[in-house]
Amino acid sequence: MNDQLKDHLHKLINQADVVLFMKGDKYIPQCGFSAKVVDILNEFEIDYSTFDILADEDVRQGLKEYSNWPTYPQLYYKGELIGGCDIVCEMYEAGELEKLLK
Amino acid sequence: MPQKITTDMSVATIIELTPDSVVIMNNAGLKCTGCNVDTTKPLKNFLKSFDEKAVDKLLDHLNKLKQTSSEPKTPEKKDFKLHEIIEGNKRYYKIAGLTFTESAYKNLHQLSEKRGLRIRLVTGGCSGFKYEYDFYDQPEANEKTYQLSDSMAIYMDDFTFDRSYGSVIDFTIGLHSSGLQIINPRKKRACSCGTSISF
Repeated sequence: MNDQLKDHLHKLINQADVVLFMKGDKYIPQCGFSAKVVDILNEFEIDYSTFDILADEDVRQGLKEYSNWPTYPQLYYKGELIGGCDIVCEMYEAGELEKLLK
Repeated sequence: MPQKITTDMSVATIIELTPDSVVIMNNAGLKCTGCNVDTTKPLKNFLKSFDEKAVDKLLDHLNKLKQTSSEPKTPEKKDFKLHEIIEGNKRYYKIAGLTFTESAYKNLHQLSEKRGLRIRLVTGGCSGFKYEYDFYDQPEANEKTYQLSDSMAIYMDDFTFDRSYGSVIDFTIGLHSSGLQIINPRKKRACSCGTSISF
């Protein structure tokens, strides 16, 4: 991966404390798994940014390689990958997610 | 505190208290929801062909259903100011708790011919509630005006505002359906075409 893309991805991941890379965006999610994570984040009423990977093929493929995670959505907290829909839902059910993000 | 459902209660009130009642009432053969049904009428109006035992059975079932809080969670301050936001590479326009997509903003302006857009939630339809919307020159007496732009007003009464806060308004152009889409995140049930919803 070239340095330019790497820097770009690093910037995107760190643009806010909570960043969700998803299909669609927080207002119009375009996939059920992405929508589920959005619902959970909305419930917490915290600030978060979303990035529509359907609108950017370079980021869509690059991020998978950068983070070694093959699917979307991908939730990041303070620059660290938390996981996809399954992990986020598990953490939500266990009360861990609220503790981490709020 | 759950309210006791009686035959004197309007169908609309029952649906608001417990959306699952739509399914129960339809299964019992009542024709109390549907596009042209007046759900402000009391339940007993729809039970004319039912004997006492059937009525008791229905009430029993309805009162066993879990009731949702009938107070929608809405911020106290009514949002009169327009906020433009950029999410990723898309622009959205937020006012009165409604988020308009770029497509909705653009198409509404093109179609409105300087009239305002009334958005109203009414009882009716297969699932209990549905949105009515059209262009008008003036708001009704019970409606507030929210300026989406200098040339475009949105008219909404408080009943609609309280239940629509947080909704996204899009305008889609597609093969099968084109036009305004009101995506209300609070809806718990919708009919198969999506026109009628309940909470």
